Amino acid sequence: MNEKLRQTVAAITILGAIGVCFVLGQAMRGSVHSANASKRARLFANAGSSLADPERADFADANTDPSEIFDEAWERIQHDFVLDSMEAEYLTELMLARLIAGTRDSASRAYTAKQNRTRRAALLDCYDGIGANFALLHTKQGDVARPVLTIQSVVAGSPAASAGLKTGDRIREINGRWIIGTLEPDIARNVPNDDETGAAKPDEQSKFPKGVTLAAARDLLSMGKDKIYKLSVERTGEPAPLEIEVRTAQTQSPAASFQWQEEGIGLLTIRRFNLFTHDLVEKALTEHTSKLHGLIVDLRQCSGGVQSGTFYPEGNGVLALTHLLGKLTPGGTAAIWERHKRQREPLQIESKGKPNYSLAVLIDKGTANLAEVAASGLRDLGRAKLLGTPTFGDAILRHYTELKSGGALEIATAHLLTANGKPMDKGIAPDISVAPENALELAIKLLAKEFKERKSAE
Amino acid sequence: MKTLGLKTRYLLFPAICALCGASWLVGFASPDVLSSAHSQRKQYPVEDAALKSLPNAPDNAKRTIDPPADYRDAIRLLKAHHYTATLDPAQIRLLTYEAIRGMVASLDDPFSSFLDPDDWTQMQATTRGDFEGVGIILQSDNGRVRVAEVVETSPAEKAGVKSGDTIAKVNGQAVTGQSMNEIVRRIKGNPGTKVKVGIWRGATPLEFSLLRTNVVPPIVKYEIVDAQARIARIALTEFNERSIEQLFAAFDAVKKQGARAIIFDLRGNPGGLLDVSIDVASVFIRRDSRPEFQNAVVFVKEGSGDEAKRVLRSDYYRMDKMPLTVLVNGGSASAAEIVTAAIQDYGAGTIVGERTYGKGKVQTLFPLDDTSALRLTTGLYYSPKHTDINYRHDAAGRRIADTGGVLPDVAVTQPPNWGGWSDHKNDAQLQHGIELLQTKLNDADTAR
Repeated sequence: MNEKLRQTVAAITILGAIGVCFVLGQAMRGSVHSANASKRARLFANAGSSLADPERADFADANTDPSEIFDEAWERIQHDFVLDSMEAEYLTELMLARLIAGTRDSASRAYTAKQNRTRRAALLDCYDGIGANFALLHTKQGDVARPVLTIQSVVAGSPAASAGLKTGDRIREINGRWIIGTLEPDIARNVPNDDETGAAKPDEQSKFPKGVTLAAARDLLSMGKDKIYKLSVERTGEPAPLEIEVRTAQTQSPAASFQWQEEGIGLLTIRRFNLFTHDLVEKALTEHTSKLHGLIVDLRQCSGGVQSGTFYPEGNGVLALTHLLGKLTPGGTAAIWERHKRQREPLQIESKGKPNYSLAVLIDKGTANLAEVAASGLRDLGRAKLLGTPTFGDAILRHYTELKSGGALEIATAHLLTANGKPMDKGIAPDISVAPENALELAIKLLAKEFKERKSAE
Repeated sequence: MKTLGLKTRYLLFPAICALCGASWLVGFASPDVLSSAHSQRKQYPVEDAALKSLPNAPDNAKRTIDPPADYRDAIRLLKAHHYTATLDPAQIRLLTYEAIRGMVASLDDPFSSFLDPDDWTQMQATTRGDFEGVGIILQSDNGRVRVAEVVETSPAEKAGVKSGDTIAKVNGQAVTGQSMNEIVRRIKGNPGTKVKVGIWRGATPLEFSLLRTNVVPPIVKYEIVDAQARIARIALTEFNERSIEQLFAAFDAVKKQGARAIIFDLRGNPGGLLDVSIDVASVFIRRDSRPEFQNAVVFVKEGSGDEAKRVLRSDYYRMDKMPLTVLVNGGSASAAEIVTAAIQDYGAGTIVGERTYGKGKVQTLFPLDDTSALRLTTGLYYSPKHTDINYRHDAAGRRIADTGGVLPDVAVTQPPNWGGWSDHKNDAQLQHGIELLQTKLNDADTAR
């Protein structure tokens, strides 16, 4: 049978059958079934005060505890839903995703168990996907600001690094599919597996024939390995979008490391604030302090870290940050957590031995989040010189917790302010502007010169 | 928690009209009472090798899927840590609704949904069979709002509003830039009051003063379509509480006019109440006419796995052994398919037209304690011959996609220029139905 004709006739019939329209309960909501379906509404619906159902008024109570409503709904789904499409894990994932999305806060996020495994590994030092940290920056498109998948920092030695992706790159297309700027959660049923292609799910294909949601794109690029993606990337200063091909792989990148540069000058590289960072800083500084004349703290492409509870102590970046600042400064207020306008908590640093050497800090556009607090704290309390370019401006402290289902919640818990109360969302400016790739060389020269001067003064 | 036992169970069939942005109808049908006992919470333990193998894996690598536990943790964590100070009870309730929507969305069933108190209130207004308004149905079309239909016998029809008119003004105020919902809100109002609606008909501006009233939509229409052969056509547009009385009245009327054969027109009928479909089937199928079916109209399989049989009612049969043709198309769904499939299985009539929509699912609406509601697919139905109306099955018993619906005995495609109810000339399906019945009547006459 001719399908088009069939549909046309059905449409005409439906229009002809007036009675149909009386039952179009939610007619105003439009149709997802058909792209060309028009919106319809009844004029005779909704009768003001006469709506209340007297029978229901007897038992309904608008103030019933929401958790009871939730339980009731869950019981119904478990016991009365007849189709075999209910999967408790997927149900939990989508439930959490929608709940968090309901806060309309793009800085908070729910992770599925699989996403959590990836995220948790990345919060330590093992990256899947292309090996980059992403940010959702809002860009004006027409008169609405839409979130855009943006590279915040690139992990050293990762596929993203070898493909030449850079901080600030805005990813617009993946495998020829445009990325839809929405914060709507999008979780693949049965959790993304090895045959994922980046293709939109069938029902999305009808809505967005060539699109893939932002959430799905982010999953593709941060999970899995051995997939090749062709990205279309906008980069400030480039006249046309760049076509970049990248293959996903696992990347190990130590959260922190210590190396000697010229005699007496140490380089402490921090890529992530977690307990590995804490341990390495502790070990390196205990071992080498007596021989150090100057210390360079490299925070370039350092994505910061999260706060986390006892459940997940090894991910706790705040602990590592406090420790670093205690080791390298005489102490004081390093920053302010602003939970909301009337509730500010100073990040108080207790000195664990004031160093007798000079400090330089390397920053770039990929220095983000807790790394920005570190840079600003080292300058304010430790009189460190900041070299490089302005930082990212990811000024939100996030709290990371795992849930019983194996998923996790990342909850935006405070805005980050400098010690004197300035918001960090515009980033931290360097004291000495220098291209990031030349910053190390310059810092070495600077510290060597300072050491010479100090020595001759003695 | 208030007891659930007080709640009425609402059975409904959504009106799924893919092509008209459609939705549903609810009725206050079955008086079934739900058990008030909440059964124990099921838990879903998951062994997770991958999680265990992680460095620094938590001790409880054996995770538990327990939605209420995760929901409570999430709310607690948001309250404790989220930087918005405004997580007040109202906000928590909205987040809870979002969480429930997430659960329902995971079911992958377009007919299940969560209705917050506003949705639910609005829906209740549509389930009563009569509505306050002026009797026009609007449609938004490229930024303009047009009249899609004018309800028969409504104030709008009496005043001369025509389908295709474009809304320009309401009470003298231009509607430029307003959404359809806003326009609807402005036109609606208390019965007895008046509203001035300005329209464009082509290039001509017109203004109507319309009385807002109670609009009672006719759901059964009938006419004699062949005066010589005395063939009557009866159309049912919805299965609601008024269906059966109007259907009986239609039978009385056409019999008075000497009808000898019936064309039952279910085209575009999106369904309605399950109980009413039993009533309607009983009008057309004689009890005990096929002993092997034991008077079954439909089997409904529920979430518990139980299967309930619904049987023909006594004293509803009105056909008096007249020949019957049923007209169906892709817009005939749900309850309309129950009736069609039953008539087909019993051989009580010839089905003419196109494959029906293919929705063999029953929804139940569960009011929740805080004036929100949950609509879930709670039943699957099968015809008397146990045909699955959702899908055909292959030899291995697997569903074949896009094969649902009742297949007509005689497939007739409608020409695209068909103009609706009164356009008999271009109504190929009706014409075919008439011819079939003429032949049957002639054969019967000859035999006699």
